[in-house]
Amino acid sequence: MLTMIVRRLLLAIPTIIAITALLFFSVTTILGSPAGMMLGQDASTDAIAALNARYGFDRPAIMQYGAWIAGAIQGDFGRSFTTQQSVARAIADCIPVTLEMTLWSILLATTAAVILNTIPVARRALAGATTAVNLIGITVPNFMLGISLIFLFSVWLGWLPSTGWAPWSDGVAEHLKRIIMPVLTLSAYYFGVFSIVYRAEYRDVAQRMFIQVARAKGLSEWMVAFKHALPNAILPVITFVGITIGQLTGGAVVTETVFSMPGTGRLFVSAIAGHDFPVMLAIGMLIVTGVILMNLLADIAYTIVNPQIRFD
Amino acid sequence: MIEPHKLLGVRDLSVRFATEAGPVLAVDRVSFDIARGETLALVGESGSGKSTAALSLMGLLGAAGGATLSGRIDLRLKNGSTHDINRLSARELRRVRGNEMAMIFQDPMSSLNPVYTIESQICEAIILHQKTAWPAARRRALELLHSLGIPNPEKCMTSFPHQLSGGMRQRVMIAVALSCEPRLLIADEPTTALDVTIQAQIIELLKRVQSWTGMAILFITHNLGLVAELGGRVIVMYAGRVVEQGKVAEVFSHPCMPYTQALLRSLPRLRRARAPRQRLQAIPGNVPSAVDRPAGCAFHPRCGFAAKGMCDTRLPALEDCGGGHLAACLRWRDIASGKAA
Repeated sequence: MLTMIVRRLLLAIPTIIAITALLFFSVTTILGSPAGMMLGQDASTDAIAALNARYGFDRPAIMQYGAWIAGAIQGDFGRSFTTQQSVARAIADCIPVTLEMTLWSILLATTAAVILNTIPVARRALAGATTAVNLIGITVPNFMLGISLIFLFSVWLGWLPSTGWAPWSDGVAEHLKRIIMPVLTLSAYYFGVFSIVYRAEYRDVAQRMFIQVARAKGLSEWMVAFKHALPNAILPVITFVGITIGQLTGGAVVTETVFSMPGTGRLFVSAIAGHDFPVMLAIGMLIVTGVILMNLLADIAYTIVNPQIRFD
Repeated sequence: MIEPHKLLGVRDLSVRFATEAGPVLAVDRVSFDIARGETLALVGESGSGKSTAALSLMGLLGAAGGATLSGRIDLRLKNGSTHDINRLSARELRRVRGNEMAMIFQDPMSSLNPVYTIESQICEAIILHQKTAWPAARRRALELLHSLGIPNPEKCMTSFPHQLSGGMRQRVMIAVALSCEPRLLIADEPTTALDVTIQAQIIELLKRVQSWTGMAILFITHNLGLVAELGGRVIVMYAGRVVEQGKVAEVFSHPCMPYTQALLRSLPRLRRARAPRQRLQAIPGNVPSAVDRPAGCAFHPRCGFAAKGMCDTRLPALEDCGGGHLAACLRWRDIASGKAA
């Protein structure tokens, strides 16, 4: 187990270097000279040259990447081109917002997907409704759902503020009011994905012999479903949860933009819009690292849920 | 109601399934009794309805859905009262399952839940039915594993199913089934998935267990060799119906129904009494599809004695051909006296 973890972590290093290098070179070649972008089209060649020299853009790309990765390892991702703020600082401010929203959404989506698809009676009676919610969650774009929620709860009913963010320090009620709609929006999509994955696996598990054996012991349908079928059907959901948490910004980009939340997703969008490549690179690296780490955690969780799976 | 010495009385049990190909009569008016401590073997090819009949005794067919049951399944409970399994509520049925009667299944590899230890899977039923606490249930489980000849029971208790061999898993399944001291054990092809040497061990074990506990065993199998080894009584099923029943020794030495005769002829035997170079005789044709059963006797298209205008139109009832040995054949007298062609 420990050797597996160490091996996977060591393997993560070249993966991170390769992917960030790919990001670095594609961003610098596709977007062109950062100095040109920062100073605008009318800038004099002298001014561009001066800026290039100041930031080191006149050096070969490989040197620039070397300098960047050396800094990144020490937690120094440089300064944003647009705000001149420290990138590490900007991201550190955004992560709690995105992380909290994502975790709540995943918790809600997983619980709902697993419970609704496990309850013996509900499984059959609510099958139509669950499928409908699945389809809505997956097919309706996040921004549509978000805007619809804003329309319903903010414009029409006036219960919740439409956009913005309030940290915990502003009070629990204020915080929850701002986070409910983004969480609902984001979890609708996750619910759709988790529910489909879980249901397919559950159907398989329900055919297995030990389910019949559990019934033959005299256990109730609830016990059969929750104690015997659930732990065997939940494995693929764990993988999906791991990948989803790792992606962080992936699902959050649209939701954060719709609800103007100061999270990593929105930071990523504005970085792209402003050609702010230190920020783009830093978030790119964050996503890669996140996915790798969460995959590892998901694999460890596998061994806890299913004793048949062992790493050696 | 059933006679006092009987444990189980099945009367006119029929099971219908609604399938896409139309309604299927998987079990057709089957009746039999099981006395206390008796061994009854239910023999038939796959598709003969023997497993369906067994599952309906446990009330487990409803869970699969799509099945309609009729007839009575009277079971005498430990407290002396008699109940019709077909008319019990889901809650009452759960008190019977695992407690009054238990079942072991064909495939020990998939009969145990891979995520729980052996200990928790044996103790589960004990705690459920006997309302005991964990330490007492654990002691009982250990005792069971020990008596079932499992080496190092302590270690087995904390093992997960995938750490055990097939034979060990079937022993564990027997421990699960015996945990609440049921008076009827239904064994649905318990040795089919095992190696031949392990098969014999499991059969020996079941016979030994029966001698201590005095429980009755309903043994479902397609293997006539096992039936001979088990002894007791045998019921032969064909296409959802009982075609012959009686004491194993009697049925094996004087089979009355041509199907049973054919089954016995298809078995290899050392030191055959007849011609030494005789080939094994396979039964021609296949088991009829459950959707499209032949009229009259379901076996007539494959039967060498079938008479036109008789076997293909009239459904034979079970008749006593001597000493409680029953057979469902219109021509059994002709066949027995050698008059049939």
